[in-house]
Amino acid sequence: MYRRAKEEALPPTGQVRVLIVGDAGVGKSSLAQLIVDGSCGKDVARTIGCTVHVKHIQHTTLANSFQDFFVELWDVSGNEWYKDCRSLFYSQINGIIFVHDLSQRKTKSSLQKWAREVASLGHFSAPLPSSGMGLVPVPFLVIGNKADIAPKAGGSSGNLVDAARHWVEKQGLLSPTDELPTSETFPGTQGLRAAAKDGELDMEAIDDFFSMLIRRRYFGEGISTYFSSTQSNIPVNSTNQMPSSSFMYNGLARSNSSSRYRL
Amino acid sequence: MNAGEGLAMAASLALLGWSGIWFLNRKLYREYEERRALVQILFGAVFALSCNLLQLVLFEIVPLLSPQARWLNWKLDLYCIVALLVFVLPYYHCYLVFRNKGSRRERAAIAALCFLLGFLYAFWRMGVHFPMPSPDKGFFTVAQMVSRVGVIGVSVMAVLAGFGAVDLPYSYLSLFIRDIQDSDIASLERQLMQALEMGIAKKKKRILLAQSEMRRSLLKGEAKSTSFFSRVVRTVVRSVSEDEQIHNLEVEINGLEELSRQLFLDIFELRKAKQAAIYSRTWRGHVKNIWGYALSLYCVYKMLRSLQSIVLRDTGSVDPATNAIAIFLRIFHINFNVALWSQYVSLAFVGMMIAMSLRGFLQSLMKFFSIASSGGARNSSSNVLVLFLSEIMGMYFVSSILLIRKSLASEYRSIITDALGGDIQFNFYHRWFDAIFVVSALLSILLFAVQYTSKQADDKHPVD
Repeated sequence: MYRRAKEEALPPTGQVRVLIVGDAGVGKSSLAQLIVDGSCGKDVARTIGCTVHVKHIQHTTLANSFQDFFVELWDVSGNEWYKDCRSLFYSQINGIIFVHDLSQRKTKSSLQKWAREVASLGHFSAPLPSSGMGLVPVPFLVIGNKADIAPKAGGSSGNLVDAARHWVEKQGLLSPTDELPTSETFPGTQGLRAAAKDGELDMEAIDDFFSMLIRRRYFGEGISTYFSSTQSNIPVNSTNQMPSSSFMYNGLARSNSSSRYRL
Repeated sequence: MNAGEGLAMAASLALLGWSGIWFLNRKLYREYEERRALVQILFGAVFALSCNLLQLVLFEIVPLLSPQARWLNWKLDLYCIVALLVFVLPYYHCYLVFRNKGSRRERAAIAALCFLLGFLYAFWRMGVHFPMPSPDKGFFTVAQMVSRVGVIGVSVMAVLAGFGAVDLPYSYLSLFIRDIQDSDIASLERQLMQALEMGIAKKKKRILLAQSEMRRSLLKGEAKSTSFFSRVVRTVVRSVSEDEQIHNLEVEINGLEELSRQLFLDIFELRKAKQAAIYSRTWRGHVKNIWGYALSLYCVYKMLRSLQSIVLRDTGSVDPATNAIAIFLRIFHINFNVALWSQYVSLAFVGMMIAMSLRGFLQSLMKFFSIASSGGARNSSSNVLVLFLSEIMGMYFVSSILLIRKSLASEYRSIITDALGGDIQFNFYHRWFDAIFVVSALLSILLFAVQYTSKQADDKHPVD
């Protein structure tokens, strides 16, 4: 901010539209507020229809100049009732953020259904060629929310039926129905962990995601360039980088940091 | 009464409790709300005890356990369910409400205790207005509490029955289904997108204004050469106009968001109505329409019967099953040993009534829960809602025992009378049910008439 104060303010030169989808109650609105405002309120009301949050991004181009962009976060209601009315909001999508609840396993498996819904009903701006990048033709991000109340590995949530089922599976009486989305739908192995109420979110990853979307839309860079020149292009500015274990989520390579987990 | 029977009873209770919890988790909890284990256990306990009561009625007709076992089961069940309904649930309910508001544990416990004492007092005083067993035999007997619980439960049953009797034909009849044009939906969708885009534009403007103000205040801090007075003037003039602009923008943004929410709900309603209209044109829809006419006739018949029984104080003491069989046999001139078969027919009849009443209640529960929990309520209030529903469910099933007694043949009624003990006025409950049923049905008719005419008016003058 201080760098720009002396210069004349350039008006933002465009916007990218990011859809936030996921089951009802996983925390999409809280996450959107966290991304835009830096903090989220205690009790966020249920979203009816769609709420759009706007964030101002300062983008560093390759020529090392600054350009301002807006990111529109379209936070769509996940309520089952509104299924037929939602398709209205799926237009000119540049990117998608899938949100699921770490304390409810079912929300993760329903991301599959969400991906299918958006892929079939949505209109995408600059879609990717359908060559092995999963169902959704635009870049996406998967965030697991409520990391603060998520059960530790092997624990159980407050749901008694799920807890009983978990116990039975552990005893080996039932085969574990690990209904995780298949890797064809979500290629790339990592996602983000977040706890919106506590303000815990990897903002760098989010900012990198937005930057990538801006580059795709306005600077004509496709995904293929990322496969070849991954390490040099992206300003890696996380403090605890471990370059030995890098990974890809949908074409954007990052070095590992402690907030990742396996999908 | 041997150990085997005791084990069977315990096993059946456990099974019922587990199915209650399963129902809660799979059917009621649709959107991942906050859940507490104790709330789920209480719901399961009330569900198990209620279903056990109904089960016991069936076991009277087809004697499954020994009479002593059944007697013990009745007494135990009634004690437990009354204790839960009158003492445990109100206390825990109030405790959770206070905890959700953020009080500490001790304060919430004390407040809940005060609430419980107040509740018990009001509960007792309620008995003044209704015919209750005389207090000579003691204050906290099962009979006293069941009679009071019965009043509340019977009212709930009658309200649900009255509303259901009107709602079902209304939803089945094609007469009330509106014709929705695609263009109406499309125009509303256009308006919604316009409202959203305008909201986005204003939010962007607000961000830019806020940033330019910050930048200006930064530059202001560096300006040293201007005089003090001109600096003050500049501060006041600039910041007022920008603050005012930002404030105006915020007001406009809030208005646009509210408008977009309302438009979305309208679109949702129109789409639902359109689907209903399409369905009514299929052959299934036509069948439903005919059913609707039949059900509305039945509803009118029931209302008239209830009115008659209130006015004429006619209670009747023959159960419908035996009555129906007698009529059937008379029509077909069959010489049959009624006594042998009446037991099983009675069982089938009562069993069907119980099953339908249970199913109807659970469906209303699901509908009510989904409406209440998605109507803007917060996630934390789902626990309170479940507790409230557990209380209603317990009261509902206890009073269904009171009412079902009339449908039983006289030899089966004795167990209910004995188990409840004391002199409970059963006839009063039937008349009370009929009165509330008629009132509830009339109010529902009024409600639907108002809703229908307002929607007709909306369709004639659509929002442009």
